[in-house]
Amino acid sequence: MPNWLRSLFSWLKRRRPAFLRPSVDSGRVQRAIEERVAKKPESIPDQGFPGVRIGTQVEANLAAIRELLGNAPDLVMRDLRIAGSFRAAVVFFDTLGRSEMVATQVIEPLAYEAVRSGLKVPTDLARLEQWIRTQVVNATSITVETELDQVVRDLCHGKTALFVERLPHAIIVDLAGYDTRSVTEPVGEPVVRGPRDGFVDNLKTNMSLIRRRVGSPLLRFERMELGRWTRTPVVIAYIHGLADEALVQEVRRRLSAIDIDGIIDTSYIEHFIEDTPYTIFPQVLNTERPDIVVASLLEGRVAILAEGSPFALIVPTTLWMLMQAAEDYYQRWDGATLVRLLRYILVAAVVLFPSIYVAATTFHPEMLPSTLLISIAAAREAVPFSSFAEVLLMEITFEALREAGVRLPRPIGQTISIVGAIVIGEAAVTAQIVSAPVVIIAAFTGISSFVIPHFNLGIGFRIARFFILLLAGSLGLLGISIGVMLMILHLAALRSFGQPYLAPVSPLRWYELGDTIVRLPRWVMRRRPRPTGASVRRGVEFLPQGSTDAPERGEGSLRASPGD
Amino acid sequence: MHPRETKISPWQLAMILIPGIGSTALPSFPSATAVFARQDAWLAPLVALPFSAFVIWVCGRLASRFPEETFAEYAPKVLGTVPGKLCGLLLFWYFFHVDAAIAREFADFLIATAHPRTPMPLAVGLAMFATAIAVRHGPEILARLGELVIFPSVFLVLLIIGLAYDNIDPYLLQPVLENGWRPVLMSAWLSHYFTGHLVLLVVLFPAVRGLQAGIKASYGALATIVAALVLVSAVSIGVLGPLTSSYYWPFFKVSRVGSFGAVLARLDPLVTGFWVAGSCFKLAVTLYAAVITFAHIFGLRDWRPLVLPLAALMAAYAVGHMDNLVEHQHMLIFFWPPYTQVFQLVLPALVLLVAAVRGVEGKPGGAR
Repeated sequence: MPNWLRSLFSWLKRRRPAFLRPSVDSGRVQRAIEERVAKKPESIPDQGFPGVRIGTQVEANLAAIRELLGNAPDLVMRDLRIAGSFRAAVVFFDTLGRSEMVATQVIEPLAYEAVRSGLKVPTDLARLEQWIRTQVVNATSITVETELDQVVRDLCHGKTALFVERLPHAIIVDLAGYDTRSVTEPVGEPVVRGPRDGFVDNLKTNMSLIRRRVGSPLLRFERMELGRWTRTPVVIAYIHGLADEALVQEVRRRLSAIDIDGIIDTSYIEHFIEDTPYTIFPQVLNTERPDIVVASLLEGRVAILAEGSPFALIVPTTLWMLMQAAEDYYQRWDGATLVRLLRYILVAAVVLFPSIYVAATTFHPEMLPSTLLISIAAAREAVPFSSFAEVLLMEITFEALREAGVRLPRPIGQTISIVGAIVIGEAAVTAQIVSAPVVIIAAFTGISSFVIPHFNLGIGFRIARFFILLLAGSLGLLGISIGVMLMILHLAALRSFGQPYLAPVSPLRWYELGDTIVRLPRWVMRRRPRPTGASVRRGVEFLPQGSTDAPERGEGSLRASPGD
Repeated sequence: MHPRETKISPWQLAMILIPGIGSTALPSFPSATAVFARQDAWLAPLVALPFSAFVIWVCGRLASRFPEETFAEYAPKVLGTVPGKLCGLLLFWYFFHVDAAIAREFADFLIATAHPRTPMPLAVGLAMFATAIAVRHGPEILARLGELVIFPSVFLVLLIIGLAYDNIDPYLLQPVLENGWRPVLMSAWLSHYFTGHLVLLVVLFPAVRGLQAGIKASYGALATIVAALVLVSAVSIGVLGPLTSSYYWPFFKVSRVGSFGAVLARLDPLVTGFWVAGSCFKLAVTLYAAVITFAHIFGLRDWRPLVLPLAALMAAYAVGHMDNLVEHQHMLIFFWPPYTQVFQLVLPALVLLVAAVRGVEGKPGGAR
């Protein structure tokens, strides 16, 4: 059966009137569930059991759930009698929900607390449900669900389901809670001065870290579930009124188009929502820092968070954002500007230094001052390889050291530094396998590549470095120029959610330049950046470009009031 | 018909025009003009200015008469199908020829200064390949690339002049108008083949958002280019004096002269790098014009598939149409100026004149 037909059927099944919809009471439905689980389990995450209702018999509901969840050892099914008369059952995963909370907030009040404190137990069912929801159960978040699919999904997300005999609903109480890492300083993006909290692997905590910083009621969280099998909760965060509505709509569209088995980390999402998949440069910024997320939201960008991932994604992203560290904004502007300039120079060194060395020694020795040329020539005298091979060798060695350093268990880490420093650095030069200048270049570019605050951008530039090295080794200065030009062209043509990757430098927006290569004092930056742009693809225009709207008053400017 | 997928702003138009015309002109400029005007070569761009402004005026009139259309689209309406298409082909030939000449000049420079042993087809082919990749992204990306190229280039030019400051002898500019206006006019004639390249506008204006602002931006671009040419010519003559015309790339020579102690010297690799980038940019803009014109002559819906084949043809022509640098320079000085005027001045002006006389207008709905 083709997919569209299947979804049509499932849509029709969900839409039929209530009396036509089977409930788990009927033996036929029970058998059908049993059969699906036994024979075609792979169809369940996609299709579920469309339209199947919760039954009125507690036993039937429990049987269906037990069947679906396969007698899970961590599934708690607790029978109880409400005020001694109505049969009921509480179901939850004690690995996801908090047992003691369920006991004190749901079971205790239902079983005897309510009656003991003098509440009158209603006799008819309709009032009973309301009575439970409004007067008895202590938990804060309570909903009522009718669909079997929804109830099972809620259970798997750690909520607690309460079934009452003869009641055709399940009362869902949110008492989810599980052990997570506590909020600590992010390891990947430390700062000397600035907020020290970082995202953890728990979506709720992460949302709270953002909400805490934005007092405005217009902060919006939108929840959706991604991943056929993992059903991972994913949240889009933006500030209504600052983020362009078209941008938010585009984020929604791209996220909902994702069809994948599971989302283990937000990087899974990143790969699906990039504008250009075939590039070495990241078009989505990821960060562990809630302060970066909030700052981006205030610039009108959109953040994407997912359960189980301490990394938030931020779109649209520009190259300049990826070159900025959080620290830049917390230190004084002069120091921050100096650091930024240094960073750009070092990035140029990462990409160009090895290639220029190769080009100069191989093709253009006249480029070098004569004393330098003589010392390089003396160092290279006994080396058997061409300078291209030498540089390539050392760059590969450095990459190997770096990768090994990351992967090695910490106690063995020492070995690598000793082996790397002494054997490869010292011995290779002494044995005249490589010349000393090449070791210096490899080490320098290696260190320089780590000044890029965002690791994935560093990877992009390191890959670009090898391309340009190849061009320099074969074509000299011409190769470097062409390579750099193509790289810049590629960067200029990249877009992130329609926003040009090099904006506001190209296309030039004077007012936003203060926060790119330099960082001007905060009171100079009086306008909010406008992260929108035009689509480059024909026929797909999702964001208008260059609308000439009135200049906006920017973030915390000292003289922002029109009075002065 | 025209896949005008993204419009460019007037500012971006200027960002295309300035490096698109100035980039190759700067290093080579005073060489050719100094052949006639000697120390007065710096006056040549100023004298050529009205003619180049006339080119912009013609292109602007044509664009406002035929909004949203390029030359190859309205020429048949004005002159009749066959002559119109022929005029379109002539313009296409102009772009094609100019692009090949630029590619050749680029390769000549590279081989003469930095890569003596690189085969010409490789240098030209590589540049054309990079160019083709750039053109396929469309005019908006070209403009952004221009924006990125232009500011460092301006900085570099100023740096070279600053470093050469010590070597500039202003008295070398004297005597002014030693032989009267005649040699200067001859040089202006030469100068105009650079600035008259603004005839690119017959292709670029339809892609601009807001025609009047676009025309203004073009005049601004022209003024910038002329100012840069005057400055560079004056500095080159000030440094090299009567030797200026004996160098093919005088300003490049100037960049080798200057230094700031031992700290900052030998800027020429940097100049070579920028020369490669600038030439590729100019090649790209001209290639874009050629491709668009070609596509519109034959009414093609998409121009992108034409880019690579045309780039390959241009590369082949660039390599094959001249034997050596001397011949090429000779052609540029003695044949090129009158030849290019046909396409830069005569052709658009003729079409405008006929359109005005016959009262032909563009699409009624397209007026802005």
